[in-house]
Amino acid sequence: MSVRLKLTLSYAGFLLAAGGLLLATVWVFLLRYVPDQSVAGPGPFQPSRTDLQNAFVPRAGQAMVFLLVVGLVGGWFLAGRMLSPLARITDATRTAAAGSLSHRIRMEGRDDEFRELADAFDGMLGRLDAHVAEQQRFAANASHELRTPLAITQTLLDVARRNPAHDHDELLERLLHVNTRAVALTEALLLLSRADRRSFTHEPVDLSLFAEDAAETLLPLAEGRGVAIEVSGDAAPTTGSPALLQQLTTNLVHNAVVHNLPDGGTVWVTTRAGDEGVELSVVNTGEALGTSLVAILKEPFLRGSARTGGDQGVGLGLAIAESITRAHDGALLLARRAEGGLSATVRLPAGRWGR
Amino acid sequence: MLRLRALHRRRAHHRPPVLEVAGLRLDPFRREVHRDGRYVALTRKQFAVLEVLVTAGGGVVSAEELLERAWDVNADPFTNAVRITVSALRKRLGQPGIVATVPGVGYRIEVAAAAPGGDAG
Ligand SMILES: Nc1ncnc2c1ncn2[C@@H]1O[C@H](COP(=O)(O)OP(=O)(O)O)[C@@H](O)[C@H]1O
Ligand SMILES: [Mg+2]
Repeated sequence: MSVRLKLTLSYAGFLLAAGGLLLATVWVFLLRYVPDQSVAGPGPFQPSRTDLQNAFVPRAGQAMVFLLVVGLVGGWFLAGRMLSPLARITDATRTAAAGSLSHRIRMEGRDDEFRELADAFDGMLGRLDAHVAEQQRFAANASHELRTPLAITQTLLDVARRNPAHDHDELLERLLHVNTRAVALTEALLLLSRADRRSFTHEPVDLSLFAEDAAETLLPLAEGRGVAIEVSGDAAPTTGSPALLQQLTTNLVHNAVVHNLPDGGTVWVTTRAGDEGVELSVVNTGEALGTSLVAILKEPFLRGSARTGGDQGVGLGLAIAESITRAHDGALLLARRAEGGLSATVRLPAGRWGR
Repeated sequence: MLRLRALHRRRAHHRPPVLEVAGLRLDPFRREVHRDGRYVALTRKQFAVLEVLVTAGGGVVSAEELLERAWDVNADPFTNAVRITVSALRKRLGQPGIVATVPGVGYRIEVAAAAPGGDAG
């Protein structure tokens, strides 16, 4: 039975019950007190109870039938009007289910429950739409990035086949370089999806250890570029995946080393533990950055400065850092330094294990 | 399966011995360090440096030798790696200081420091 029919029947039923109650009142408080025998007397005509009943009951019956018809017709009409927003919402749901996320209900009228539902639904559609668009953009970018090394490999191999007598050492060297990049990119993509799916272990870890480890790993690179790394701070106990959090720390320190001054730069890595949580901050000297640029640095495949070095990344470092942080219920904050360079801060919930 | 077990047995036989000195207990096989019974988390390089120092049993180890053995022979001789890692290692091991600098020569474990009352375990 449809909701409209149910509403109609309950409306008509209610009207009939009210009518019946009225008639019962008339009977109980009025008709009962009228004597049943006609009082034949000298006065004017006095109707007996039977007379009254004969006159009243058919009329009352007609009134009840009328009420029933009004209840059914009016109820059907009213229920239709009340439920019409629901039909629009259902239509919108079907459209969305069929794959079109750009449609919106845009319910007008007063603020009632249906309007609230429609607005919430529109909001959900909007978010889904943005999310899907972002995913598509990401997939397009990723394929493009993956295609580049493959296309270069293709060209190198073509050239080599056409000149078989050519020296192959350089070819091998270049193939190796291109392939290394492709592997790095693929690994970065895998890491990103692993963090996004939140499929990892949660173990007690200390961010300060990761900071020291990242500094150790990147010290040769930093010293080669004349950049000093200073690690300081207290133990920062939290919980999470050691592998992913190590990656997060390494990405931030790597960026701080690579996107630094050409010579004589510094990277400060600090860990802190407070009541609200733990914090890892990586601050580096460097070129002055624009505020608008800093706002979009986390975008996948975005590479900020035009300066190209040998360690040109794949543009996923900060995107990975962001998704690892989010997967650990934390926040990654980037801020430009007025003196030049960047300050990156990771805040994570405090670990519930002993300090 | 059999071969795996054989490998396991062989490994167990060749498991490097646990080193103990001055309240430090260093297990090279499990890569674990305890000081006075308390677990100390270390990075790979910090562990490698401590292992070299503990193996020397209180003898002085030069920075060059540390670089060669904890990093590799081809490491940049002008790197600050040893100095940085030793200072981080000291912080992790806590008080009283146990890694001493011998000026102009190198580093060594202070064997006498924790001798009285130090329960190695
Ligand atoms: N610590 C930093 N200092 C200055 N610029 C940075 C820093 N970290 C990132 N950036 C800028 O953000 C861009 C994106 O960083 P990232 O996602 O790690 O990609 P990649 O390092 O591969 O280029 C970099 O190209 C760089 O321009
Ligand atoms: Mg990067």
